Amino acid sequence: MAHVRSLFFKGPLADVENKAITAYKLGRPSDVIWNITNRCNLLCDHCYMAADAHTRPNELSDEETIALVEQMGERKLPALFLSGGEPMMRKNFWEILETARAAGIRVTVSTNCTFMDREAAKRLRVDGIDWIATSLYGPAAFHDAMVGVPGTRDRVVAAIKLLREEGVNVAIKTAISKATWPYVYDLIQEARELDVGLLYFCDLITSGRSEGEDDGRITPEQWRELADYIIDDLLAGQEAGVKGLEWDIGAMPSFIPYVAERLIERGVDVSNGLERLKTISACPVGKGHMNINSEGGIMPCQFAQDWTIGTTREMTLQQAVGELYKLDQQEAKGVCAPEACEYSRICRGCRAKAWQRTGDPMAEDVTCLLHASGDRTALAEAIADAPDFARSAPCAAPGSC
Amino acid sequence: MADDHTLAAEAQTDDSDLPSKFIERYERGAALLRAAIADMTPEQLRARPVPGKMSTIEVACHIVDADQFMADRMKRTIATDRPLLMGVNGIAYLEALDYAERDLELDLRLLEVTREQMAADLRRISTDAWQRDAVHSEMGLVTLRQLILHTIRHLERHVVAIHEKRALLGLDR
Repeated sequence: MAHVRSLFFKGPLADVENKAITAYKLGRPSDVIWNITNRCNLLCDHCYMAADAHTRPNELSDEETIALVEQMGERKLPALFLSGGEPMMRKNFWEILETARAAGIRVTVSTNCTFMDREAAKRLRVDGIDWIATSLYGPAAFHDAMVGVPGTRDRVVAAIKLLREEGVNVAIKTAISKATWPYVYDLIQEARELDVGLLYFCDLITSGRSEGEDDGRITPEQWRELADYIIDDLLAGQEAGVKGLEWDIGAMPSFIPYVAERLIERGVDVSNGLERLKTISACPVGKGHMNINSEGGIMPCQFAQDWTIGTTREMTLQQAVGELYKLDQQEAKGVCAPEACEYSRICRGCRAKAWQRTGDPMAEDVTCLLHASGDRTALAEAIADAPDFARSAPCAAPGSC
Repeated sequence: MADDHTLAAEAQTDDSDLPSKFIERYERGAALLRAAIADMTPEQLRARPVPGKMSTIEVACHIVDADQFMADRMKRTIATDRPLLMGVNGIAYLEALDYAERDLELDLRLLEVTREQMAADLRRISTDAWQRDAVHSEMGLVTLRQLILHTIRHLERHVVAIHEKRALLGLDR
């Protein structure tokens, strides 16, 4: 994930991203995406968790979940994403959320919003939730067919309005695929009308229920078109001095150097963003980012559920960060290798896609938007000029102290 | 008093018991309702001690009618692959079917027979069948286990409401 506005300009997530960078530099977890249950009341046909109506057999007990949150608090975790399945279907959802907030952790809840009512929205506001992230994919008939339950879209939109009335930040997520592409620009317009603060566009993840559907992805040209639209929006917002939407891009790390190249061409100083990318790359695998599933399995990325490094029952979060750091010390291969791409260390390519395609997490990311594209000189020089905190910091090996 | 949607949502998030333990509780439901209204006069059954809320006879008939489509939902979930279960606004039935004039004994017998037959079916199904699921038009994905839990709690919560009415009518002291 990469928050484009906050990375290159002063966006709404700059503060939490700075905290994540600090955590990583100190060898602590930078952010955790935790799928607290695999149970869901929707059947999204692209769900990377293949969530369904059932609880997994070895799901963490309530006591284990609270102990884990307390551990996160002790490690001063900057950002926690509660996801699922549908996280609000876990019985101690509120206990997890409120324990995390009491520990000073910033929490985003990724929910399908079908359990959202006025009371829940008020409670989320009181609890000081950072964001509610919820999915929309297209017009009602399309959306409802995609999630497998009629009437869902209307309920989601009603919930978004209710959350905004209560002053809760809302992010809209969508999977970018050939199926959803025709509706992307309408969705952007709708996001503005609904007063949401962030749009998350994630490339189609071909695991879980969409395993093997690699031909469902849009083309690099379409991704670049979307990037150009977002760049225009960013610059228009800067020029007008308005806050504007935050744009979050998932599973497409090369989107970030592509945007940086275009911004440099348009005279924008991207040095601050590049400094940050040298510490936490556009693909955050190995950078203190981790995913925990409902059974305590720890993965480098939520989009590769079979790429497990251990479980919370057998290792601490600190030990997990140390294991993940071993990935950070390896170089990507093919078009993502440092000798093949000047942006290798700030981008890294999508490691989850590499894992899914080959079983080697360091294999090349074949969905790169930049490979064999135009002149890279300007951005390459800017990257060389930017300080490299992670490699020079005394605590660059997480867990060593 | 939780509304039906809240009850259904609670059933979806509850893992507290094995489904096999639900059958006995499901079967007991009809007797619970019969006992709750056994000594009530026609006037007391039709009284509205809580302004704006259903009378006792309306609550009882609502339970019985809801139980019919809840049993059907369970059967369709057992027998067909991931069926679509349509949500129902049971409140719309009150006036349309003139619950106040219903023969309550007929409703109670229907409830008893429905639950007896459904419980017998539930006892015969395989353990795996409890993991079968369906798509409810309002609640989304639901399992057979969640459907029976919702059915049990639906009746039990409404019986609690009947006892509240009885207390206000001076019947339970």
